Amino acid sequence: MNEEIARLLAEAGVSTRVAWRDVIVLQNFAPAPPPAICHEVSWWHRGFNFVVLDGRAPRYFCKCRAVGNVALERETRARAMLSRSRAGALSVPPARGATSERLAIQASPFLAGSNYGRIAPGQSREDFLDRARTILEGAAELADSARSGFLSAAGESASISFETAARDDLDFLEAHRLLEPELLEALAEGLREAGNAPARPQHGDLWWNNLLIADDRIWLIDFEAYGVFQVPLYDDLTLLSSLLGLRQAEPGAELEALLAPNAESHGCREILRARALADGLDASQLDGALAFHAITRACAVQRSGGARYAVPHLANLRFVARRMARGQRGLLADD
Amino acid sequence: MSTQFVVPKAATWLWFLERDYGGVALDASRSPGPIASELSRHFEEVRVLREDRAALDEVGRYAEKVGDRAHTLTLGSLSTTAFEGQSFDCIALHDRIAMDVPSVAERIETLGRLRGLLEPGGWLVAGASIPPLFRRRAAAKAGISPRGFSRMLRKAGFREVRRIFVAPSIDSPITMVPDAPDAVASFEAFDTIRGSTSRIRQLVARLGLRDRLHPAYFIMARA
Repeated sequence: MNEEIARLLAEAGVSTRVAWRDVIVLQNFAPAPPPAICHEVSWWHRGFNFVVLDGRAPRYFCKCRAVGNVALERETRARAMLSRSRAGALSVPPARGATSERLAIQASPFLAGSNYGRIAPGQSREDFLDRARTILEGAAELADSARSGFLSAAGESASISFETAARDDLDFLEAHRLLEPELLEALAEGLREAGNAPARPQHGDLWWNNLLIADDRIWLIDFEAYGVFQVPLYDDLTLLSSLLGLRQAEPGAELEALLAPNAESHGCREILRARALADGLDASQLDGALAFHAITRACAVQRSGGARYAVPHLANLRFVARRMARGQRGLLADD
Repeated sequence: MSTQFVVPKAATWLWFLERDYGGVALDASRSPGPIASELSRHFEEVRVLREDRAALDEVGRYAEKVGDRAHTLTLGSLSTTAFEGQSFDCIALHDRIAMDVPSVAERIETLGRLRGLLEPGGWLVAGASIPPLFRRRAAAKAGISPRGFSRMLRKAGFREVRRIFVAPSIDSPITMVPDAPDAVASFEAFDTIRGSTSRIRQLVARLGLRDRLHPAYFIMARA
């Protein structure tokens, strides 16, 4: 193995001597470090992720990025703190970082379990809803810990405007003509009507792929966007829509499934309303949270990976925008 | 709407070599620039060898576009260019041997010549797709079996050979799995590694038919 990486792995707590045959690269996104000038998409900064083996047993999950990678620094800080917080419904694996002049490495224990996406489709409706509620309550507990811990030093504001939070993305959608002007205006109107809400740190990518079931615990992983979004219900909508995508809907129809008149979708909306209440939102602000979620997901994917991956997210966004353009409100309200 | 952009990442194998920054590398691939660019972040000097001026200029333009320092550009072929012996710490071929050198004898001769250009302990790195069973598809023509490639390298005088399986291709390797029984078994055994596992793939791995599980590979040989 390269000597620079070997040194950094040792500093990050990887206790075994790492040979080339002990390393499996799982996601090779981009060269690390990237070139000085990066064109086209933000994927240039994602580096690569790998597993370090000890014999046949995977021991560590590691990330390699260019030094100064903000997302990796944020994740290492969040996990170092949240992994020590009192164990609630969700567990967080610890992580340690090490840097050289040009590279940043993060190492954490490997979790040998199953991705929640493998389990959710086979659950009964009751189990599925119970588990979803538990996960979201666990995420809220972590947010409380984060606010009193490392995020308290970040000068987080107490209140957040839905429209201001989505402004860059609305401009992005307009500049790239990703949505018709009347649909954009309908979304902006929905955000304006929602006004302000108490700021609430979000995981930022809480979908089923970032939940692992191992050692009889639910582990939340991938904290690279932790605290970037502060609009309440962002995580809740991300998780429930992604799970409905496994259980009910084709890609691009997840939000339509969330609003569908069936018992499971009704249960999901009930969870959302309960979470909204806990986060200090009133019922009239739920549409704003839904619009913010749809806008932000679509723009994040469009920015990072280009058009192909963004297609289903744009379909979800268009669905919400059309409902709002028809003047419909209370989309997540009771049937 | 922008089109899909794939970030070039064909030389991540560089991190699998036991070396630190410094030395001289030769990019003798057909890459339009990304491989030389990646080499430049691991080696003090990168020389680029191409058979025609247009290809050479393309590499130069790419370096300028991404802000790399200028490479040393040389016009010539693998068989005719007269570099001094033991000039390089690494030679990157990518798929040149598989695509451009047709016979086994010529391949061994070319690899032997390239070995002479490497410092003792230097690395030659190539890639190839794995021919499908029974060679039914046309793609088989561009493939070399991993074991066959290893034999050629040993006949050409290389003292150590390593293979790393990749998917979906050597141009865009997302996963990289060392060709070692433990690594392949691990890759197939854990949901959280491969995304999903299958009993058939696990069985194939246990039977030692590791090259049947992957579409392509990099091969790294130490002079």
